[in-house]
Amino acid sequence: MSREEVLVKLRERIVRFAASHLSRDAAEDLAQEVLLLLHEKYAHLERPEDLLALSLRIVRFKMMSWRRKAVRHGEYSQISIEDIPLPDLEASPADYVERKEMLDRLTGAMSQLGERCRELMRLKLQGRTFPEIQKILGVSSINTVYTWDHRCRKHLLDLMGGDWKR
Amino acid sequence: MKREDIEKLLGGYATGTLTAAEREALLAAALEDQQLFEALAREEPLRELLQDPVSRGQLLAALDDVPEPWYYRKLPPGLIAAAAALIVVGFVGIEYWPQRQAAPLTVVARAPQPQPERSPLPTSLRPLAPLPTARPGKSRPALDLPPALPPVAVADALTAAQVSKSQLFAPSAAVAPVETALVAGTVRDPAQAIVAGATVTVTNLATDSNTTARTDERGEFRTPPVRAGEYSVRVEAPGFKEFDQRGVVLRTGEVRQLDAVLQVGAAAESVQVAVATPGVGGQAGQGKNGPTPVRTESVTAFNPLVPVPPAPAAAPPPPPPLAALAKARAFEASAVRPGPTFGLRYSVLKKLPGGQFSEIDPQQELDRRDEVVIRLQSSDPGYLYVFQKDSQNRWRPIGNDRLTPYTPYSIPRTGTVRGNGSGAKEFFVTFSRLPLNVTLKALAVRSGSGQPAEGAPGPGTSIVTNIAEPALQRVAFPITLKYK
Repeated sequence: MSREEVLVKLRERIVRFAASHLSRDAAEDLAQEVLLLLHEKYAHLERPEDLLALSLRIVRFKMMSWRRKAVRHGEYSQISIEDIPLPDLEASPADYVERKEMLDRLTGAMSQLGERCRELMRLKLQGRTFPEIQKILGVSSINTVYTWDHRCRKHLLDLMGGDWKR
Repeated sequence: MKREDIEKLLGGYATGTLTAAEREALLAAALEDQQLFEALAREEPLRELLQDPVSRGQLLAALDDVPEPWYYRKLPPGLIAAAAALIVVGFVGIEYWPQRQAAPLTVVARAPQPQPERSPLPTSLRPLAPLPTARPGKSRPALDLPPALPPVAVADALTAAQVSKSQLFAPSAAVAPVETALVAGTVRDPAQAIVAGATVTVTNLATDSNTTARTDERGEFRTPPVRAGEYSVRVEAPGFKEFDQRGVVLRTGEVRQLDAVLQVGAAAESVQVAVATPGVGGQAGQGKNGPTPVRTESVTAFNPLVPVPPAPAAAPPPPPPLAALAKARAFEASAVRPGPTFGLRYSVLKKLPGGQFSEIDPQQELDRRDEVVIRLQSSDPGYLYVFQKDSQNRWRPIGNDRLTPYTPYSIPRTGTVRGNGSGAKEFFVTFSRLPLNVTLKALAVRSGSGQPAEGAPGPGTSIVTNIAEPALQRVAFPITLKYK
């Protein structure tokens, strides 16, 4: 798949995702902003997985900035995408508090998981890959590990109220 | 892979568990599938959180802290025997109980019986018999009360009283506001480095109830609101002595600042700090920087370069309570765990054109334009010391830090290492359970010889031989980045 084809698909995905959180116009502007950034700063990236992973990050930063600005102005109506400041990648107090809250909720939820899920999560947090986890747990098929992890993630997400971030 | 199988890879995205092939499959599928794309977008906050090594370390610590369910815990053998005996007796009793007690139940269809009419509630007060007049100097005789009402009558009486739900559950205006205070502060080690993940326990001395808090990545803690009163504060962290401060009197609305400095040592040891009860006008025993610690025992600093004198024989401490002893042992076992599991591993990560890092063979020859990072990970908590050979062939300390297990530590801390055409870049790392008192002088090596001076922990010296405590281990090894 060529870079152009990837970007066309990416645009469609981003617009549809952002439209569920912002207005349609803002979503389209946001997608345009992301593509512009990919074009200007990351023109050397070709592989779909690199472009997609990067765009996910940019979309998140842009949407966080949008929300913060809306809260700061005390308004929840749409604002021009041009007014959205470029994301500040330095850690801010708001980020810190947000991360801390999420960490607390995650810690609480993980303590309610079963022993297998906790072991799985421990190995994942230690930086093991799925094939390594398969060997450590002595499981014959890697699909079993995938299934366990899928269930554990779903359970953890349920314990967190359906979303990692509230 | 099928769509359902790919969906199962979602759990590995945020944690970085996916292999390159799995990641590629997942992201390619997300490009085609809106739902998967949105699911990935929702994983971003978690991925971002888990990229922070401190957060990762805290979650790992929390996973280890989960208490075992009661049925997994070891019970005293006596209790198990008693429970088994009770079960056996119960079984035997049921089996051989006389038949009259265990008559088989027979279900018989029966016509509904007419309910006897309930006596109506008295609508007027019955005149009570006049009480006998109490005579001075004599105790009052027992009252001749009417018999208690039957349960049915009591229930009816309650209904008749028409106690509404709102009356039952309405908050009472007479409830007094709870008088609360809290304790906040910072936990540091003797080198004034912050200690993250330390457990702070605040115990109310009157009620013996505990409230705990943990220090965050800044070494700061803040307890939930507690009732005003007298408290003891205990701070615990792996590899440190327990910090115990008694006689902390919290007043209503007070936020007590309490900074603790943990002394290095086994967890079973403790440093006690006494604080005088504050008076009304101020807080006695408290200086500008919080309470003045009064150490009740002397702590010998561990210095691997100087022979440690034998500790003077001290009076045996009073035996601690069983629960505290068990806790201390478990804590010690988790903090100082001798054996082959103690270790430090490293990997070399090379920066790719896209800004991502990829692990490479440490022996691989690098191009001078390559940007690399050395990533270290320890299996246990401890202290890391990093040295680098400079252009004049001398070892220079370039950093030291406290490591959290399985939390990556990067060399350099910021940026990357680049080749400068010298042929190789040499590093030397030492990882110790306890902080080393390493001075620059001791680390200096004779120029050109490559041998460390004065038995300093540099290459060529077996530093594992010079340990004061067999349980406290150190590992050290060189890391060489070869350039073409």
